[in-house]
Amino acid sequence: MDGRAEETDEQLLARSVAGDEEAFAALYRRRQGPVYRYALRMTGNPAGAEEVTQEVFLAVIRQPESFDSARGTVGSWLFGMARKHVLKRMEKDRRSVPLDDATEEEAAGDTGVLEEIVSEEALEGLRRALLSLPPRYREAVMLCDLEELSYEEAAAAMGCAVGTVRSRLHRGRALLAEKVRARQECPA
Amino acid sequence: MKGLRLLGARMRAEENAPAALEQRLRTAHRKQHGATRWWPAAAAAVLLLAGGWLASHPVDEAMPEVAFAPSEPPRHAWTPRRYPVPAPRPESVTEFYMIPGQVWEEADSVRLVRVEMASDSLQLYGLPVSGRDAGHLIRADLVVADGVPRAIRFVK
Repeated sequence: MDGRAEETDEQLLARSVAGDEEAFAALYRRRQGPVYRYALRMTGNPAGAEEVTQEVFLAVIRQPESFDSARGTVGSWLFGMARKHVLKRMEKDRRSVPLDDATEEEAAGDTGVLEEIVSEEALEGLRRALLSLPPRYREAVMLCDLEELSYEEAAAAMGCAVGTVRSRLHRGRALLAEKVRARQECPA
Repeated sequence: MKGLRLLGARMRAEENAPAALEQRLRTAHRKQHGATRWWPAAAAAVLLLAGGWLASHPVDEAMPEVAFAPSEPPRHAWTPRRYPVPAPRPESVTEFYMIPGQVWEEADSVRLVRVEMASDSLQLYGLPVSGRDAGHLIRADLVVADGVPRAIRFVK
C-alpha cells in the first residue's frame, strides 16, 4: 500500500520542496483534477484549462514559499492560483465578464428544478447552463457544489468573505435553475 | 442539489488534466531540484575557463554594476576617536558568463548572490586543479533565476 495516500497535502508539499519527486507527483495526482475542472469551466476550453493547470503546478515547484498555512489549505492555495491565471486569460481575451463585477443579476429563488435532474440529457443541459452563468456565480457553484469545497475554503480561493461566497452561490443556483427551466420549456 | 451532485460526480470521473502534463511537470521538478545539486560543478567548470582567461587578459577596473552598499554605522552617544582609514579599493569584476547548460529565459525572480568557493572543491567534481591554485578561495557573483544559478562573474 502506498503510504503517500495517507499523507496530508502539507506533508507532500514539504517533501516536494525538499526535492522528493514522488511526493510532488502524489500531490499533483490528488489535486490536478479539481484545478483542471475549475479552469475548464471558467475558460471554456481544454487547452486553456491545461495551460492554467500547468502554471499552477509549476508555481508549486518554483514558488512553494507563497503557500501560507495561516491563510488556508493547500487546496484553496491551488484554486487561488488557478483563479489568478483564469483572470489573466479573461483579461487577455476581453470576452468574458470580470469575476468581481459588482453588478448582480436578480433571479427567482426556486431551485427545485435542479433536484429533478436525473437523465443524461438533463445533465448535459445542466452542464451547458453552468457554462453560460456569469463567471462570478459559475465559480461559486463550481467550487462549492461540484468540487464540494467548504464555504471557508471557497472564500480563501476566491479571495473574498464567506458571506460573499454564500450570496454568490445562492444567486448562482437560482440563475442556473432559471436557465435549466427555460431550456426545458423551449428546447433548442 | 441532486442535479449538481450528479454533475459533479460525472465530471470528477471524466475530466482530468492530460496524462502528458504530469510527465512535463515531473521533468520541471527534476530540473528545479537537480539543478541546485549540479550547479557547483558547472560553476567550477566555468571558473577553470575564466581562470585561464583572467591570466591572459587585464580585468576591467570599473566598479561592478551591482554594488553592495555598506550598512549605516550605528549611532552612539559618544563620538569615537577618528583614525585615518584607507579608502576601500574598488572591486574588479569580470563580465558575466553563462553557466554551461543554462540559457536566459523569462523568470519570476532574479537575485544576485555573492559566494566564496574553495578552488580545492573543484576536485570533488572531477575537475583538475593546478598546484598553484590549490587552497585558494574564489569569490564570485551568481545570477540566480527562479532558484537556479544561470550566470556567474568573478571578483578579483
